[in-house]
Parts: sequence; structure tokens; C-alpha cells
Amino acid sequence: MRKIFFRLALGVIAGIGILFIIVPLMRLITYPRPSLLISSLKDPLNQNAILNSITFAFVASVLSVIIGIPLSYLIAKGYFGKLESIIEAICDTPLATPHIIAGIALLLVFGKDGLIGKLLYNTFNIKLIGTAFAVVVAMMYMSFPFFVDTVKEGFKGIDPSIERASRILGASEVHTFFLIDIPLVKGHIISGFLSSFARAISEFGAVIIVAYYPMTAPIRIYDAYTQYNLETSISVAATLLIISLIIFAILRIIGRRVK
Amino acid sequence: MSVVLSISGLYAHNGNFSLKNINLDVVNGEIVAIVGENGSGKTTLLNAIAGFVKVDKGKILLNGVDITNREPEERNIGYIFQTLALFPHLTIQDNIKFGLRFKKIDNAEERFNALVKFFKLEHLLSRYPNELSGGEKQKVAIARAIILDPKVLLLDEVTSQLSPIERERVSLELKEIIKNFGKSAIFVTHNIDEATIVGDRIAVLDNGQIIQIGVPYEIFYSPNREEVARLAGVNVIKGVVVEEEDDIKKVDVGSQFIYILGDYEIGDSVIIFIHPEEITLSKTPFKTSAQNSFTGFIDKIVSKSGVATVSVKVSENNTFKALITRKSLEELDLKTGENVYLSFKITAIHSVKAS
Repeated sequence: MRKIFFRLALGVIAGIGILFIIVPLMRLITYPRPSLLISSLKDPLNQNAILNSITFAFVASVLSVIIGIPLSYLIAKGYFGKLESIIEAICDTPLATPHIIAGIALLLVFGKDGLIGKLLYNTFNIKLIGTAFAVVVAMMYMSFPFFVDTVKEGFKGIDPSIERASRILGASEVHTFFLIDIPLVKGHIISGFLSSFARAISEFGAVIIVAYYPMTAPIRIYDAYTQYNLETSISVAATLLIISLIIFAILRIIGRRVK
Repeated sequence: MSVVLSISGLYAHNGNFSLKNINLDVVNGEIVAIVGENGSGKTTLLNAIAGFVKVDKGKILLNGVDITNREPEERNIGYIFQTLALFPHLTIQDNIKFGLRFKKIDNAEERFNALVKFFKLEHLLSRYPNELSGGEKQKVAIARAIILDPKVLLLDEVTSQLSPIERERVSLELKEIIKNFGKSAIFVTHNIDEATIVGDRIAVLDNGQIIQIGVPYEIFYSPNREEVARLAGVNVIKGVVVEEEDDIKKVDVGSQFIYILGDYEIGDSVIIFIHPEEITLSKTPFKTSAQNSFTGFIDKIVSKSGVATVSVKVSENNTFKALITRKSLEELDLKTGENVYLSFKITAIHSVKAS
């Protein structure tokens, strides 16, 4: 009897958690009339913003994979020695940084007067802020820790004797990395990519500081809200949410098949 | 017999643990069993031989070639890990053939087919390791190592996860396989019985040092250290020689005396080793004039696989373990807490001078 009550209590609490996530989203999707959703989808500004979000988030996530895999591997294999916990904390810093602050920090590096931005502007007359590059950098900055944390745990979970077996059978460290380690963390790489993509596509605070244009979906919603009214922004938001969920579902299905 | 693997003056460390002055030769076709308690350095030694632990000092020669500082993949050594370490994402066929990508082996395909047939793995080739039983995985791990024709095989507690009965059977099978393929091997275990089954010689490792090496009989009947004797389940009694009469020495072992043979002088500290099976038990006093007779009470009786170990406490400091058959145990009707007489021949005692 006590066991049933305990499970029932857990179920109720879990149910509250699920409803907490799903109710606002369902409310948003069902709020506008379908005709409004369709016209919102037909709006070239919205189409462009959605395409930008998908493209930039994809590029940011691919960059996270390229840079994140070696970093996660080195952390997991203890290459940083005593500095390991410091390096891990550094990697997680964006998670604890308010997004707008992260945007300002990036501005100070990539802006016209920033460390890198100034150099590029003075040397090649290249401006980074307000470009697709800035959006990708802001998205990647905020989503990178999600990838590193996931893949790092994957590498840490590999039984060291499996890697040693590969070495003693004749594979070099490089061969072992590509033939054993990477395939064994494939699932983590996919999960990390999806988490980082989800985080990147939804980024607003850091992106709006470094680039209002090219406009991404969250900024388009904000734009609609400030320029028109809540009704308009709701229909745009609902449209974007549906598309985001569809993309996310497709990626998850692909991810599961690849795993 | 030519030496295949020669380790001389080897020092290596892994964290705070150190191997000290390891000297070991393995001749062609020989299996050396390395036995020791947990933390004695067995796996560290294998890892030093395989190149996973850096050697601080000393040399490792394989067929006369210095491999001390070579990368693991350049050593031509086979290693069967405790976890077996099969690659979970590869089929059994790809697991066995993995090493062939990096090492050229004559008639590799024929060798593969022969091994698959020998280990009866034909029906498992397209499966993945998680679909195999423990025994099947073990065969795959061995086939994967042997296909590369290594000069020496290292086996790290490969039977530790098996039940005692299975362990004995599998140990024997492993020995037959290693001998069948004419390989030299170092077989690491913490179980002395297993070491005896598999090893042509046994090396006892304690705290990073080889403290005795010899054929199984020597390890069992002539241990040179207390640690070796304890590992072999031999009774260990310490005492001081107090009297001598010709070859016979009277040793004070607390409140009692044990008579031993040996070249000792009065005042020498000695360690006395008596095998449990050399001790005779009786509920009535012995009629013989054996010098080494004691009375005590039965502290504990442990029955296992048809034999019983009876622990008899003869004084505050000295407890003897006697090994008798279960039938004898029933015939003698021994029970815990009862008084019992015990005796052993002077010639059954092995002793060494305490350092």
C-alpha cells in the first residue's frame, strides 16, 4: 500500500513537471487562429528569420563539434592534469553567464574596438558585428558547453582497457581515437549536437547585442512584439515554435537511427 | 630453451605505487603465473611489459630486442585484459581481425579461419560482443590476440569473474590453448590454486617485488617468506631456537615448543611452515612418540568441496589449520569448541631463518 502511494506521489510530481513544460507551449500553438499561422508562415520576413536561425544554429553546432571533440577528449583523458577542474569550470562558464552580458563580452572582443574586431577592421576593413559571423559566434558561445559536457562524459565512460586493447593490437593513438573512441562516443556526439543546436536556435540575449540583423527567429518575434502588438508576435512565435519542434523531432529521429 | 621475454632490474611506478627491481625470464613455451594479493603490483607489471606504464629503470627484452621504450603497438605482445576489452561497436569477425589492419601476417585469412574453427566461433562472427556469453567472449579475446602471432601473451586475471568451479575448468582450458599454440605467457592471478594449475613456474609478487619464484611445488613446500606461505595457505609459526640436540632444534613458539630440523644456532629467530594436510587430528592422545604434539580447541571448521579446514587454537598466539577429508571429519565427529589433539612429523616442517 505504502509502495503504491509512493509511486503515485512520484507520478503526480512528475506529471506537474511535464505539464509545466508543455502547457505554455501548447497554449502558444493553439492561441492564434490557423489562418493567422499560415499568413505568418507566408511572410518573407518570418521565412528569412527561420532560415537564418536554422542555418546559423547548424553552423554554430558544427563548429562546437569540431572544436568540442578534441577539448572533451583531452579533459576526459586527464591531459590537463591538475588544471582539469579549472578547465572544466571555464568550459561551463557560459552556462552561468547572463546572455546579455555574454553578448557584451563578445562585443568587446569582436566589435570594431574589440581585441580581434579592431585588428580585422584596421587591417582588412572587415566588420564582424552585425554579420552572420557575429550571430554564429554568439550562438556558439552560449551552446558550446552543452556539447562539451555531453561528449566529455562519453569519453570518460570508455573503459581504458578497450583503448589499451586497441593499442596492443597495433593501432596507434590516432587510429585508436578514430576507430575506437569516436565510434564509442557517437551517441554522445549526436546528443551533444542536438542539445547545442537546440540551445543555439533559441538564443536571443547574446545575439541581439552582437547582431540585430541578419535577423534570427527570436529577434523577429521580439521585433514583431515591439513594432506591432502581442497578437502579431504570438502568431509569429507559434509558427516558429512549430517549425523548431518539427526540426528538433527530425534531428532526434535521425540521431536515434545513427546511434 | 631460449628466453623469449627477459625483464631485468625493472623499476616502474603508477601513481604512488612502485614496482621494484623486477627480474624475470620467460622461456619459449613457458607459462609463468604471477600471483599476489590485490595491490601487489600484478597489473602494473603487465602494463609495464605492454608499454602502458613508463619504465623508470631497467630493461625489457623480447627475443633479445630491447622494447623498454617502445610504444605498445610496436611490441608484438598479446594482452588479454581482465574485462576482455572486446570492442563493443564491432562484430566478432571485426574484433578478431582488428589487429590485421596494422600488422602484416602471412596467410592472415587462413589463420583467421583456423582460429575461428579452433574456438568454434563460426556461428558468432556477425554478432556483437554484448550478444555473447562470458566464455565465448573469452575465446574471442584470445583469438584476437593470437591471430597476430605475438611473441608472448599477457593474461590479467581473466577468470576472476567466474565461479570457483568454472575458474578451475577455464584455467585448465587456457593452459591447453596457450600450450597448443606454443606461446609463452605471463598469467596473472590472485588465486594460488589457479596459478598452480596454469603456471609452469609461479612468481609471487608482494608490494611491488617478486619475493619468490619457482615451480609450484617449491612455492607450496619451500616458501621462503611468510607472505608466500600465507598465500599458499600454509601454517606460519614464528619462534626462537632455545635448545639444540644434533640436528634437532627446539623452538620456543610462545608457551609451547616445536621441534625442527635445520642449521640454526641457539637464539636464531625462525619462521616455521607446516602444510595443513601434514597435520593429523585425533580426539584421543596420540600413542606415537612424535615430538610435535599439541592439544587445543577447535576454533572453526570450514568445509569445501569434499575437504574441511579445521582451525585448532593451541595457545593464545598459535592456531594451526589442518586439512582433512570430509569423511574423516565425520568419522572423528569434530565440532567447534571441542578439544582435539594434533600432531605433525618433524620432517613435514619447512623453516627459514627470520630476517
